Amino acid sequence: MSRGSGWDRFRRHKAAVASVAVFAALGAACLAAPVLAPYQIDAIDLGNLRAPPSLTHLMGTDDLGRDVFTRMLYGGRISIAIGLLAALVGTGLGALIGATAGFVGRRLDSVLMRFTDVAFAIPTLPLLIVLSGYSEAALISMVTIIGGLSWMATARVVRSEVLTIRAMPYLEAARALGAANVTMIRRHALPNAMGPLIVAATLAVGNAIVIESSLSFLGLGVQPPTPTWGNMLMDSQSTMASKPWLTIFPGAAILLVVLAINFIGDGLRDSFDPRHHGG
Amino acid sequence: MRRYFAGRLLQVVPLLFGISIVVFLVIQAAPGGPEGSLLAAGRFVDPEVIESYRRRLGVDQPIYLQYLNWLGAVVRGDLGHSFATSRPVAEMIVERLPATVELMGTAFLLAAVLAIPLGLLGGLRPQSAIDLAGTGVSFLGIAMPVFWFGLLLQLIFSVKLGWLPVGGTGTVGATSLGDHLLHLVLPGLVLSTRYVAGWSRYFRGSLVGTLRADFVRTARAKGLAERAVVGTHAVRNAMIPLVSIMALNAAELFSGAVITETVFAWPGIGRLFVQAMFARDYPVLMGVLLMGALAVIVFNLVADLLYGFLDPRIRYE
Amino acid sequence: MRGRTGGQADRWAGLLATLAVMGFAGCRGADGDATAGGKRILRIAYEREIDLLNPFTSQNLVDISFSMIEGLVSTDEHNRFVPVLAKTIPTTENGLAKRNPDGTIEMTWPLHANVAWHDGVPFTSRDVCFTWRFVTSPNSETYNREQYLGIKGCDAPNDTTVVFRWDGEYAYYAGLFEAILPEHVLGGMTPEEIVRHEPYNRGAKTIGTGPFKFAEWKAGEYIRVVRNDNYWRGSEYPGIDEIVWAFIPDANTRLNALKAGRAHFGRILPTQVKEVRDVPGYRVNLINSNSVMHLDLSISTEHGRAIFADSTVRRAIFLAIDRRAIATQLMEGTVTLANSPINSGSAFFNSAVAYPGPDRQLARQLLDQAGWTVGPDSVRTKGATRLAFPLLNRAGATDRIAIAQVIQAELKAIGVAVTFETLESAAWTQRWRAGKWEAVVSAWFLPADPSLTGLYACDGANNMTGFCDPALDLLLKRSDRTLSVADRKRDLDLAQLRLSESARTLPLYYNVVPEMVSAAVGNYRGSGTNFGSFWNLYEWTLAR
Repeated sequence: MSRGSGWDRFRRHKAAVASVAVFAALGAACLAAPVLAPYQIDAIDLGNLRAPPSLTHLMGTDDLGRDVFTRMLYGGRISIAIGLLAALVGTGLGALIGATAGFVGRRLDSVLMRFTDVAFAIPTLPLLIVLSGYSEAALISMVTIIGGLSWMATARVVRSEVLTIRAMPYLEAARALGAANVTMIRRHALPNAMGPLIVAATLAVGNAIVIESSLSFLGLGVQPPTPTWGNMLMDSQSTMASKPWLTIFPGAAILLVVLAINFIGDGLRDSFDPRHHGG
Repeated sequence: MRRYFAGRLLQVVPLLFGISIVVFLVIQAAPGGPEGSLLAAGRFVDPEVIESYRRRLGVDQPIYLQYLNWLGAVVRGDLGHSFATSRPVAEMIVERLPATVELMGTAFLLAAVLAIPLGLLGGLRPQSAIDLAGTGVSFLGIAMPVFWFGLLLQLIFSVKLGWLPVGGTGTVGATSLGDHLLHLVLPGLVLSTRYVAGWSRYFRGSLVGTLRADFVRTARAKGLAERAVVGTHAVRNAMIPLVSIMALNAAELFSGAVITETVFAWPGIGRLFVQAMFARDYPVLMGVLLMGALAVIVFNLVADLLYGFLDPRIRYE
Repeated sequence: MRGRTGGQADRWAGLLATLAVMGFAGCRGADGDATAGGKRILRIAYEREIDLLNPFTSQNLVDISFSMIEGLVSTDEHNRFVPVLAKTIPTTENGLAKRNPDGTIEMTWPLHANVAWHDGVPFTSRDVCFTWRFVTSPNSETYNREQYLGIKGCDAPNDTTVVFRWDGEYAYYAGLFEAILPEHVLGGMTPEEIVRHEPYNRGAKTIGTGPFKFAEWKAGEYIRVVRNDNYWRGSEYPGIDEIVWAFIPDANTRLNALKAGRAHFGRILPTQVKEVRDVPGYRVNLINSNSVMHLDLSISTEHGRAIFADSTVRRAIFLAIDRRAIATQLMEGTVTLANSPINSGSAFFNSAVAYPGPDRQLARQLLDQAGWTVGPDSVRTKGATRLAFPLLNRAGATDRIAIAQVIQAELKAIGVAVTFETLESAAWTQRWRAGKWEAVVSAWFLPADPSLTGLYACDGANNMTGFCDPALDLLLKRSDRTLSVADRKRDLDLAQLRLSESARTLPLYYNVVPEMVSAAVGNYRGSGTNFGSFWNLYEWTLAR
């Protein structure tokens, strides 16, 4: 599986390539928020509430008269960061646990899977409330919870892939030749589980971003005045019929980013596509 | 394999026990107590009323005692009484189960109906325009926050067009099967999008992989007709991870979906849980979580069972 | 493969389509119609799910209970007590309230005759005394139990007369007994048993004397009550056959339900008022409620004392806040400015109270004079102390958080740094009650009777701010303990003035509850008291 052909495979996936561009553009814009933003993030203007998009305010103003474009840029930083970090934590943890469980098998597998069962049963909401008490660490608690409670599905997926692969003849041969378990996991199991793992990871990013907005719906999540696309989307719901731009901008942004990440994941999965997959 | 699953069944009770402890600690760790809801309306409440309320509920006792009391009651089949309504928790849960299962079941059905064709089309012709379109549609389901999607649909179909009701399970005083189904349409649809993406993606992915697999090539090389190859081998094998995921998700049949239930005023367990959390109604929380844990354990077992049953290559030790 | 799964999908689609068509055909008695079979059904999009129906122990404000259960009095939209089961409210003027030489008071309440409970049993004075015994018991969990403790005895000389023996003068007597419990249902049970008694809590035996009777409670969905055909006010009441209170806690869904014409009544958010200005067939009533949004400063904590003990600082902070802008711009003119915690419609409101400002210039001057100089980070300091404090916010309270942000911006301009500490609702309540905060934007819901003692007295049970003003205490406690309206007014006027001068709390505006009411509803008299707009439900009519 040479790098060259993997990259070629990715490039053939047009939607993925386009998505990289979109994601890079959005990401770069948000990163450059301090430079690009025309206004202060907390510049309240009570005389200009919920104004429609105009030349002075590209995306209009919100319920406190603040510039929506500015808040979209800064909000994107947090939303995207939550997505990426939570997915990293969740998928990384899940892959580790799943691969170990599938590969080592027996006792350890049983223990780990029961541990997974317990984790599945832990409710997100109370944990979030507990951790939200430390409000300076809002981002960290969000990432921890979303990531820390999303690893289970990935673990199961990776484990089943590893189980499938483990039964394959060439791995028996490798083991007979004396390869250590860790090497086997690293060299054989993980690369072959990459496909579903990538799908899981990209789904996780999108999930995390959307979960953040769902938490805003419940009144939790990142609290004002800190903007995130999620809480901007939620706050604008009550005036959706008459002031649609307030929902369209954050909503479209979430949509775009999640779509893009998922297409990128598709492309990545194809580029990793092993001919040995699926047995 | 039979021994493996017997072993798993035996683990259910100790697992539940462990989960109950973890879950109890987690909900107790959230600051504040049930007396918060006494004060929620902003009225002046006499401090001794708050005290006598706490004493009646037993929340002035140390945590381990509260847990042991709860556990003692549970093993006798008593899930306790809600702090807010004083009603038996079991009753409160059971009366909401039918509506919850109905909503979740409808969502699953719709999701399956949408996901299987989407995944199939994409898997058979990967990288084609159809695949791309199907991919995009299924991604839309997970990319759009549920509350936004729900409120948008509500605005369009209930308010602007008036075709569908806004919420609830039926029109009070004029219920009928048709009326009830109309009430199911929007929440069921909105909720199904949560699963369509994952299911169609897994199905498609594993179908693509399966079609490339050795044994399929062998079958083709043997000259079997394309139909036979795809139909009898590839799809069946590709279904395996999909079925596994579906079984996992099925556990949610009993936990509901709070956002959809809130937006469409559906009397489900998801909403019950969230309200109980904000009110720190510990008995209700423990009851719902215990039931959810049981569902998770059972359906995880089912998923593993299906996997082992369907895929002859997998061996459980 | 394709054929197999495609065929299956087709079959399911066909089934669903058939059912959908059936649905369309079968569902012509749409929600919005008041008439399902000619009955006048009032549909209310209610904003919460209630816990139980016992009006004394319920944790919610009890609209639904009061449609079935009546008391001696209720409150009209002007914060005046009106007699319901009582014929007249006793006062010293009408002689029904008698002062005894030993300082005790005897109040005689004449009751209406021919009043029957929903199950036909006659309502008598014994039910009133039974209610008194329940409420005053130690474990009745009645939120304002303390106010009943002045009644040392209850006599029922005949079926239509109740006599209360008070140990002194209590100004708030007229607002008690807003509900009466049926002795023939709950008698013989201990208070603890009554509190947990599910048949009364849940509807099976929720017996009242009110215009409506309990019919059905579908958990999580709705409560249905039906017309009491033997209502004591006369067979022409009530003008409605059935009420369905549908539980729709989500504000957006509620709004959609009203816009779609699926409900006749619903409470919406002030931010949604503009959304529904042009919906035909509805009126939006902006109901001023007995709830004042205000900013509290506290000297209970060490940091609070360090910055707020000096009243000049507090005055400066209040001067920098533009309350008018908050009411007219932030709240889009839906609310009215408040200068006192007492509702402006109350007879005891002192219209002479005013708060100066906004005046940033003066605020800065005051702070300079008090020794708080602006540091290099634009925040004022005095010695080692920065003039910075956290505002304790409750997550999900969007209006308060918006106000907090405005306050933050305005105080920044005078060199005061405000940060936010946002806690989830129950966690917030715990911190708030423990007094571990420096500043909070919140709203009390005051009863119709304007007793402020619990809030502002030095030992007030709900005084978490630590401020103590003995002169104010004197005025408040005296105003509680008199039956003379004139004396009470005098004391409360002075108290309101003193409160404003002490700059310990800044009233912002009276909370508004916008109520969207269908034009088909008649005799609606919206009210912002704890009784709410359904206080005269028996008079309501619904056009067919």
